[in-house]
Amino acid sequence: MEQLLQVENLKTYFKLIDGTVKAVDGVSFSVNHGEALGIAGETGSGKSVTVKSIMRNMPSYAEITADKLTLEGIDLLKLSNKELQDIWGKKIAMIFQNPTSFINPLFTIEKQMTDVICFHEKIKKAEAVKIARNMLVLVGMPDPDAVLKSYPFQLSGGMIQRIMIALSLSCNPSLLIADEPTTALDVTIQAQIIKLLGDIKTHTSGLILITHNLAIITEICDKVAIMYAGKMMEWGGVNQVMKEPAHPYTQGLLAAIPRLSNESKKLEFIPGNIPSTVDPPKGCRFSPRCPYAKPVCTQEEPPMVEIAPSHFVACHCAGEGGCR
Amino acid sequence: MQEKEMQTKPVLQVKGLKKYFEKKSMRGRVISSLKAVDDISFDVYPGESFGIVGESGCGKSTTAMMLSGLYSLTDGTITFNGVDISDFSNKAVKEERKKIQMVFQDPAASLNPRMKVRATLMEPFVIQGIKVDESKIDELLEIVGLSAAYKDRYPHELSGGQKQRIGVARALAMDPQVIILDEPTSALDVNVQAQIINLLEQIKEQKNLSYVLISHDLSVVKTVCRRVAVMYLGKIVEQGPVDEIFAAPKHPYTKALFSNIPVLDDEKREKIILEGDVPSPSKIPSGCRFHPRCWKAQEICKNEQPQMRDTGNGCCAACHFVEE
Repeated sequence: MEQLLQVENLKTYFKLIDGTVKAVDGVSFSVNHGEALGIAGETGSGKSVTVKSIMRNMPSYAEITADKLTLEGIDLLKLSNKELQDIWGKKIAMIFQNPTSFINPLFTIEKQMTDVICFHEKIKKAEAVKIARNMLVLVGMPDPDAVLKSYPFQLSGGMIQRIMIALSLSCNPSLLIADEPTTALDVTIQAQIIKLLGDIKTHTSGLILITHNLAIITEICDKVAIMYAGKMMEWGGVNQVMKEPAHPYTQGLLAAIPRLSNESKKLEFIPGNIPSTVDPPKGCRFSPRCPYAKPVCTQEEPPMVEIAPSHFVACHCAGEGGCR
Repeated sequence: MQEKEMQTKPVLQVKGLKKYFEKKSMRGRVISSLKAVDDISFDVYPGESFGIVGESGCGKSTTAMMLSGLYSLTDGTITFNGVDISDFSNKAVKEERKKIQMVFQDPAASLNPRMKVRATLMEPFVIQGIKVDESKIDELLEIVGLSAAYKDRYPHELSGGQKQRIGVARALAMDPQVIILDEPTSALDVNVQAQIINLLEQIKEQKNLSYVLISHDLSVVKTVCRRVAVMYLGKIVEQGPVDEIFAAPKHPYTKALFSNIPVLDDEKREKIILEGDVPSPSKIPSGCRFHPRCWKAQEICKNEQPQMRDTGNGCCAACHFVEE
C-alpha cells in the first residue's frame, strides 16, 4: 500500500529555564492511503504534541526535528510559514476536542466555512456556499440552509462538532486529524460522531484519531499506536493489539477500562503517575510502574521489535513470549 | 433484628422532586419556565450506591444540587433519616444537611487555587464551628491515600487524580452518611479513574456510606452502583437494579443509550443510533418526552404521558409499549 504520511524519529523539545521538556522523543509511524490510525495514551504522554508537530502548528520555542516527516512526498519540515498556510486545511485538516472554543462566536457558520473554502480553492463566494452546503449534507446536518445562517451559540455541541468535521472536509484534505473529537460530547451524540467519522473515512485519504478511550479506537481505526511519556510503546493492527497486547502498559490501560461484562466492583489500575518528560526514568520509561520490570529495564532503553507481522513493541520481554 | 430493620429503611427518600427555573416579568408574572427536573422519586438505602445516568440537560446535575442543598426545591420532599430536609430555613435541617456531602465534577475548578490543601480541608470545620487540630487533617488525607506532606501544597501542585482525592477528603470531613458524586471521574484518565473508583469503593465499605453517583459514563455506573435510574428531560424513564437493567433494558431510550457505549471488541453489540439532539427543557415535547427521537413512537406517545410501570425483577419503566 502506498504511504501517505511517514514519520521517522520525530522529536519535539521545549527548552525551558528548568530544563528541556522532551514532549515527543523519537516517535516513528506511518499512515497508508485509506487507513485510520488511532493514538492512545494517558494525559501527558505526548499524543497531541505529536500531531501538532506533524502539522507544525507549534509555538516558535518548540524544536521539532525528525529524520523524515513527509506527507505525499512533501517534506513538512522544510516548509516556510507561508507555505504552511496552504497545507493547513487543504492537505491536513484538524478537528479539535472542544468544538465550541475553536469556532468564532461572532461570525455565522456560512462566513466561517466559505472563508476557508475561498482561501484554498480560489473560487467565488457563491460557489463556496454551495460546497459548504453539500458538506453539511454530507455530515448529516438536518436543515443545512438554516444552519449556514446561524451563529455558533444557536447550535448544540454535537452540531458544532459536525460543522467542524464538515469544515475540515470541505477542501478534500489528504489527512484528517481528530484530536479527542468526542470527549466533550454525550454518549448518544458521541455514537453519531463516531459513526460519521467511520463513514467519512472513505472521503479522505487518511485519518489520525487521538483519544484516551481505547473502545472508540476499536470502532473506527485500522491501526493503533500506544504512547507513553513521549515514546511509542506499541503499535500495530487494532485487532492484534487489543486482543494480544504485548506491552505491559497497553495491558494495564485495557484492564483499567470499566467493562459492562465485569462482575467485580474492583478495577485494575497501573500504580503511580506518568513521569516528567524533563527528566524521564533511565532505560524503559515505563519501568518504574511496570509490574514485570527486570534489572535490564532500568538500564537499557528497549528497541522497537516486530513480534508479529506489523505488530511492533518496545519492551525487553516482548521477544520472549511477552510479559504475562 | 432491630438493626436489620434499620438497614431496610431508606436513608434518603426523594418524592415528587421538581425544579423549574422561571423567567419572570417585572410584575412577577411567569414568562417562561424551564422544567429541569419534573417529578422524580427514588430511595437510597444505607450502604448502597445509587446511580443516575442520562445525557447533558436531562436534569441529573440539578438533582444533585437539590440533594446537596445548593438549589431550593420547586416542589416535592427530600427525607433524610426520616426528617424532612426540604425546607432550608429550618435550623434543625442545617444539622442534618451536614450528613450529605458532595464531590464535584471538575477537581481543578472545585478547589480554591489560593488555598493550601490544609485550609481547604479545614474549611468545613471552620464553617460548622468545630475545633479540630492538624491530626484530623492528616487522618482525612490518610483515608484518601495521600501522605500528610500534601497539606502544604497548593492545588496547582497536584495532579488531577490527587485533586479529586482532596475533593473526596473534603466531603468526608463532616463524617457524612450520604455523598453525592457528580461525575467524579469524567475529567480524569482511564487509569486515574480506576484508582478513584477503587478508593470510593473502599471508603464506602469502611464507613458504611451511601453514594448517589451522577454520571454519563454507563460503564462506571455499572461498576460502582447497585441500583440505577435513567433520566431523560427531567423525568426518570427507567429505574431498577443495575444488573437487571443492563442485561435487559425495557425503555427504548435506555436501550439506545446502552447500545451506544463504546466497547472493546469482546462485547460488541448492535448500535441504535438516535436521530437528533436532546430537545431543550424549555420546549418539552407533548406526551412521552422521548417520542420525537423514538423509533417505536405511535400516536398515543404524542398525546399521553406514560406512567411508571412495574416490569418485574424490581425494575420499572415509563413507556406505553414496555411489554413488547
